[in-house]
This record gives sequence, structure tokens and C-alpha cells, in this order.
Amino acid sequence: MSALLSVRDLEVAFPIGGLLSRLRGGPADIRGVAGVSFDLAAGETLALVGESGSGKTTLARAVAGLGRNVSGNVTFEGKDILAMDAAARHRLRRDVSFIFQDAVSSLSPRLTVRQLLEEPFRIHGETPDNMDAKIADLLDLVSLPPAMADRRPHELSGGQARRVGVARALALDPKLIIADEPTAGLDVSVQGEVLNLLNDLRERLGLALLVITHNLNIVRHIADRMAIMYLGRFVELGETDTVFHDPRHPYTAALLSANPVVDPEAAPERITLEGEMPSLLRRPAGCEFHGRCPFARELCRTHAPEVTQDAARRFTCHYPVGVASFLSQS
Amino acid sequence: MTDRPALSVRNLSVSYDTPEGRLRALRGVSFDVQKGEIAGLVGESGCGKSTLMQTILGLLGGAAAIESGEIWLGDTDLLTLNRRQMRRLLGDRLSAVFQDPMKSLNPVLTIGRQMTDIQFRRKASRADKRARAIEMLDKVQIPDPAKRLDQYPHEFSGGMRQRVAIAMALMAEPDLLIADEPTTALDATLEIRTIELLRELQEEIGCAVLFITHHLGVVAELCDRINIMYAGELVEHGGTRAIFDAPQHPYTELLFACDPAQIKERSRALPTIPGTVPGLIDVPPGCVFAPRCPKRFAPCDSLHPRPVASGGSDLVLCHLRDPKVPA
Repeated sequence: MSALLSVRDLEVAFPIGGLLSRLRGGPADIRGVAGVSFDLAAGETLALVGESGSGKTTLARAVAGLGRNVSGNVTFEGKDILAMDAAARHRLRRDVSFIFQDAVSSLSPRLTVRQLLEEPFRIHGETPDNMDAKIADLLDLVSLPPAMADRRPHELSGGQARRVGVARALALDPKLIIADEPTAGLDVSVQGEVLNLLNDLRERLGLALLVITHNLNIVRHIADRMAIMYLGRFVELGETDTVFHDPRHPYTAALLSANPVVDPEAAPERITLEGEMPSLLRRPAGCEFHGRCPFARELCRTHAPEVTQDAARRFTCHYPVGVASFLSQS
Repeated sequence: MTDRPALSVRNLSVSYDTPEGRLRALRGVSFDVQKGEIAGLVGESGCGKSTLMQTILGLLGGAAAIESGEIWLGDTDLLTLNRRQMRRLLGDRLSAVFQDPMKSLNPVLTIGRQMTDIQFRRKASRADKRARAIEMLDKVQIPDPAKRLDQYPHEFSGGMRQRVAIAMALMAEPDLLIADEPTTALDATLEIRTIELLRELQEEIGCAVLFITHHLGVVAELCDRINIMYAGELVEHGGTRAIFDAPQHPYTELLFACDPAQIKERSRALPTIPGTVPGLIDVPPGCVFAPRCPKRFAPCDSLHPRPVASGGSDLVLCHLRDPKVPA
């Protein structure tokens, strides 16, 4: 299986502080993404999960060639994205499109839906003869009535605006869609529609999907694989089913156990995390999760764990959760 | 002390004046929140949750008109109060936590300044007010509260900001706290922490909480009772456990079925509710949910259902559950 997108040791740095603080020996930058590697195949869905500030959006932007101060290696169809010049990056936008988190504010309030859908074509210097038919097709693809074409964003409901965003992302037949919280703020009934649409397009067009979300219930249903981010790193990456049933990293286990259960009778056993995510300015020594980890031991405070890789997943932890079952399997 | 509920909404109807006509956003909504109870209010966007919240808080815009109804906070009918009387009540007996704490906190004032400012009703020294603010921050588990008090909202993380907002809302130990989707902007771990905190504080203070959300998992974990709204009407209400066990209204049933958390088996195709919420300018005479209802039958299109008790629910607005309507 050759990867459509291949990311190796990706780092994204944000310069911070002024000259003064740098002269005093303060750090010159913080790393929002600190060494992330993964592959994504055509037709595959990978979900990125993590708290706000864990670097999900920064990672997604860097992968789409939108980040600055990016180092590492990102190849899309064998081409190095980070080494591309402006013209090549411009062409890349045809193949890699973005669905933004805030559906309504990502659409210009001054344009009609028709103009919004024409925009991708204009930007790439295309004027198909059958533009009207194209737009009707796009609206149909996202199940919006043709009459919507003359509306402006403020006349759309949240779900409709979201679907216009999806239609825009699909306009130029991309190969990879990066969806940043595609269902945030949507009602459960509409959420299903948007996810079914993305999944349907994935199946029909062989799209690869990189979905950022913190809704674990969605991840369970739509993602082939999931990656859990903490402080800009993947602490665990693996098949969705495997990770859900048998998480290795304590942070993954805590996240999964925090997922509210729709059953008033069930009293879920929760793994409680102490404190807040540490600041990127002061990354903890050893395992970066040790300060909040209920299972941390001495080794965790001093030594950063190596990556453990097996067939279905990889994780970084000295004392993985459920290690007994892990040993009996191998 | 009387045995009146903390909040009692009686037959409330609110409409908005729009260029297309009168939009009837709330129609005949009645429900109670008992003292010391956490009541959930669930429904899709546009069902009238926000209108209801704004009506209770007296924050309705100029285009809105209250057509009928009463809103009792203990023994005070809020709708008979003038602006000044209402103002005296807000932040004292009645307070609110909103969805986005970044928007409800003033970005150019320190947390401490804002937390002492809202104690303007108390006759106490600044030092006393500051001490009270520190005490509240400590209660919402903000580490090192005395130092954090002199920081600005942007120096707090999202989860902390929401906890600060909760601390401010509960500072005056109100009779009723209205929480409008306070955890929507938070991640799963923070969400659980925030609702657990809210429950602890609620038990300590003994206030009633009206918790508005569309996250059913949160309702199941937090709320004693739930109210389900659809297109401006309250279609079902009752005890949380009873409704989750056996929803009586077809809309409640479909809404629960749509929640990805409810679906045990992994499935790529998620259920949806076909159709859209009806326009509320010309409200159809029958049941508002009839056009989308898989169980509709003869009377649904012409006759508006009357509220009945059914199963474990105290109120259901559905002909199917009304023994007087022949099947």
C-alpha cells in the first residue's frame, strides 16, 4: 500500500518573545508540533484527537503546506510539499483541500453561494463552459437544493453552511480533504448527514480524509485509524477498533474513559487526570505526560519513553495500560 | 420558605417580528425546575432553547414580543418586573454561564477586578471582596488563586476560563443558574471535569440549574430531569432515567437514535432525521413534528396534540400516547 501522504518528523515552530527575552537566554520559539510521523493512503480516514492546544490544527495546516517554520518531511504523491515553490504550492491546493472549523465565518458574507462555489475555479484559472451545471452538481453532491445558489451565508443554517464548505472543498476533485472539526456546533441529526456525506465521497471518489475532532463517538464510527496528540506529539497511533478496545497510553485511556456515556445507569470507571496540559514553553523532562499521569513512576520523570511499535499501532509509554494482555498476545 | 419550584415557566409564548411575518418561536411552553435540581434542556438549533433562555434572563431583543405566559422565580413573576427590578435580580438570585467564556469575560480587565466588581451589591471592603473571589477561584479548582487573580482572561486556558465564569456566576449563591452549553467549546476530559465541578458546587450551594445543551451524554450524566424541545414547543419532559430508558415522543426516540454514542456497533452510515424543521411563521395546525414523524397517523396533520403523561414521562405532546385519541 503506497501512501498518498507521508509525513516524517514534522516540526512546526512558533517564534516567541522579543530580543530582550532572547538575550536573557529565553527560548526563541516553541514547538507546536514536535516530531510527528504518519502515512495516509487513498480512501483512508485518519482521525486526529487531542485537547485544544495539543497541535491538531497546526499539524493539519502544515500538512496542507499552510504553515511557516515547518521542518521535517511531508510528501504528497511522492512530491515534497515543504520544498515546493509558490507556484507548485498553488497547484497543490487543487489536490489538498481544507474544510475549516467555523463553517459560517469561513464563507465570505458578501458572496452568494454560487460565487463561493465559483471561487475555487477562478483561483485556479479555470472557467468551465458549463459552470452552472458544475455548481448544480456540487450542490446536488452535498444535498442542497439548487435554489440555495442565490443565498448568502447569513441566510444559511449551520448545517447548510457546513455543506457549502464541503462543496467548496470538493469543487476541484481533490485527493485529500483535511476537515477541521467538521461537525462542531452541529446538531446530532445534522452531524450524521455531514459525516455520511464525507464517507460516501470517500467511498465513491477514493478520497483520503484527515479529520480533526474531539468527539470520540464520531471517531469510533468513521475513522480507520486514529492518532492521539499531546503537546504536539502523537502519544498513540493505531487502528480505531484496537485503540478503543485496548488503549495502551494512559492519556488515551483517560480520554476514552472521559467520553460521556448516554446511559444514566452506567457509572463509568474514569481515569482522572490531574492539572492542566503543561505550557509548551516548559516541556516537562522525561515523559511529557508524567505530571498528569496516574501511573507515573520514577523512570517516567527522568527518561522519555521510546516508540513501541506493533502490528496494529504504536505508542510512547514506559508502563503502558493493559500491558499484561499485551504480553500474553505477543 | 415556600414549596414553590425554583423556576416555573407557565404557558410561555414568544414571537419575533420579521419582514415575512410573525415568527412564533415559543408556543405554550410550561415546565418547572425544582429547588436543588439540575434540569436539562435539549433540542436542535432553532428549537427555541436560546429564546427561552433570553426570555428568562430578560435579554430578549427589540423584535421579540412575549405574547403570553408567566415565569416564576420562586415567588416573583419575572415578566412583571421592570428593567431596574430585573437588573437587581440578575447576578444575585438568577445568574448565567454562557457558551464562550472568552466572550463573557472582559479581556482588558484582570479576573480579580471583574470578580470584585460583580460583588458591587455587597457592603464589604475591597479586601473582603478579594478574599471572597479567591475563595471562589479555589472552589473551582484554579491552582494558586491569589496569584491568578491578577491575571487577564487570555492568560487562562479554555477550561479554566469556563471555571472562572462558573465561579463568578455562583459567587452570589443564586436560586437558579442557567448554563447555556457551557461545555460545548471544551474537550472530553475538560467537559467531564467541568460538569463534575458544576454538580459539586450545585450540591454545596443548593441552587437549581437549567442546563441547556445538545450533548445527550452530558444530560445523562448530569441532569435529574430533561426537557426536550422541538420547533418552539416542549414535546417531552420527565426524569432522565425514565426518558432514556423509554422515550415516549417519536422525536425524542429519533434524536437519541441519531447520537453516535448510542450506536454500539461501529457503523459508517449514521442515522439522521429526514426532513427539516418547519418554518415557524405559518405553524401547521396539527403536530409540529408530523411532517418528519415515521409514526404519524390520521389526527396528526389536523389536530394539535394535548399534553399527556405517558410511560415514565410527565409530559408528552403526541397523539400516540393520548388514550383519548383512537389509534
